[in-house]
Amino acid sequence: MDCEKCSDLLGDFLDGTLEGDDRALFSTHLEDCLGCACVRDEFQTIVSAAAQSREHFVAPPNERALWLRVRNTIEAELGAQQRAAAAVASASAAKRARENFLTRLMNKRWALSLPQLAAAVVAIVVGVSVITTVGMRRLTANQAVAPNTATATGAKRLSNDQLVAIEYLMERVKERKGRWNPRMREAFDRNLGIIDATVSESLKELNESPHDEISEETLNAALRDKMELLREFSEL
Amino acid sequence: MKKTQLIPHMPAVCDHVARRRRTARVRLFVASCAAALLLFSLISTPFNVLAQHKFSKTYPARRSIRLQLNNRSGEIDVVGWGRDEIKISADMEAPAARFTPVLRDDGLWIDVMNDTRGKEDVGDVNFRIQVPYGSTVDLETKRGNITVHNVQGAMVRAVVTTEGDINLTGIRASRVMASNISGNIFFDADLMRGGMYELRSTQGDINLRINAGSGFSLTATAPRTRNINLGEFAGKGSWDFQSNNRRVTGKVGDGSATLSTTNLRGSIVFVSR
Repeated sequence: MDCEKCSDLLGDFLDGTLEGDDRALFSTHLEDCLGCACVRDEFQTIVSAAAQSREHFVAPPNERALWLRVRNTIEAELGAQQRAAAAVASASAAKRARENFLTRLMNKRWALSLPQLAAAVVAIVVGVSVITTVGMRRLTANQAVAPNTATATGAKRLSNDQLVAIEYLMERVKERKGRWNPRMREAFDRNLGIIDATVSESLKELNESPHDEISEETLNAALRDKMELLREFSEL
Repeated sequence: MKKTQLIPHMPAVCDHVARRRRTARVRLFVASCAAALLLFSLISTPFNVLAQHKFSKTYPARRSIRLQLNNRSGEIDVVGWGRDEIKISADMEAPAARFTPVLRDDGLWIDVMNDTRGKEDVGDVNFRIQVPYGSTVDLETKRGNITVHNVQGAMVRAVVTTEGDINLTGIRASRVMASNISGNIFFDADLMRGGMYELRSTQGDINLRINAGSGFSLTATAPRTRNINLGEFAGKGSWDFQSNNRRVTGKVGDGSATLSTTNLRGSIVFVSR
């Protein structure tokens, strides 16, 4: 018998259930193997000590109540753990809900087939074309009304202060215009139109040749005239 | 059967009565026509003419007095004369028009704009003012023609904020400035040595009639039309045509006077005299 077989039979030996050839072989091995004999002695000491202490064990007065308390304690601890887990889960759910569409979109995995990919490319091309066309039309429209609004390319040449001042004075003139006599109103409108036409022509020339000194001077002169006209008529 | 004539002189009486009746009818017809004509002329007369009232006053003045006039709408006609007086005559189109000339040490001030501020419709106020030859004249109006004739003071300034012709004739001043948005400018003057002359229009024609012997430095700009006609001065000075003839700079004679003229959408024409 080897040490491994001996350790397997040690439990039966201590319980007193080992009999026959196994017990003979076990005893023979213990005589030859000092390690296994030491193990048997230690376990036998423990078993003896346990047998002796059993006499001092005092049974609880109400064994059932004790087990109920133990069970309640265990259930309470389990409940707390479950509540904590639920709170964590709800917090993460709320966080997920707060995530914006773009984040979810970015985190999403896309797997497109070739036709889907082609359709997406076509859709993007069409979208960009439509936006460009609309943008170009708006730009053209803005250039057409440049004399009054001085937007588009003209806006680059007009300072923000000038635009604000012109807008303010135009508002004031609009308020007071009703009080002028018809001849004065006509004269104002006619001459403002002339100045606006001059501004428009200058801007057009400057678009064609941006460094043209005379066009720049003409534009500035026309704007000065416009400011002066508006300023004087806003006090009328 | 022959009819018996009871009263022998009866035909003559009848003729006479009939003639008188015809004459009365003709007179009645003529009177009716005259009444109708009068009624028509009254109806066709503009109400503003009927409502027009006048102002006329004469103020004592030094020979080199300053006249400052700020009009709202209407014509201004200023003429130099040999008296040491300023005579103001004005036709006011609307009853609401009011102005009070203020004579101060430094000149005579008329501010129609200020005196009619807040009033609804002032209409035109047309001025004719006579000033001593040596007066300084500073005139402004929002709308209407300005004429200055035979004024030889230190300065002549005529500004029309919107539309109106400006005629400056017989001027001998060392500083002249004229500007409008639309309307012609006619400048007939002797340029003084060291004088400064500035004429600006947005749309209209600028015509200059200058003494042939004048010496001046010129900057003339007509960006839209490129129509700058130097007339006889073309052969008298040295000229630099810039930016495809949109601007001309140069000098005639000693170039002592400075003449600057800009017409954004019109022509500039020189004539010598």
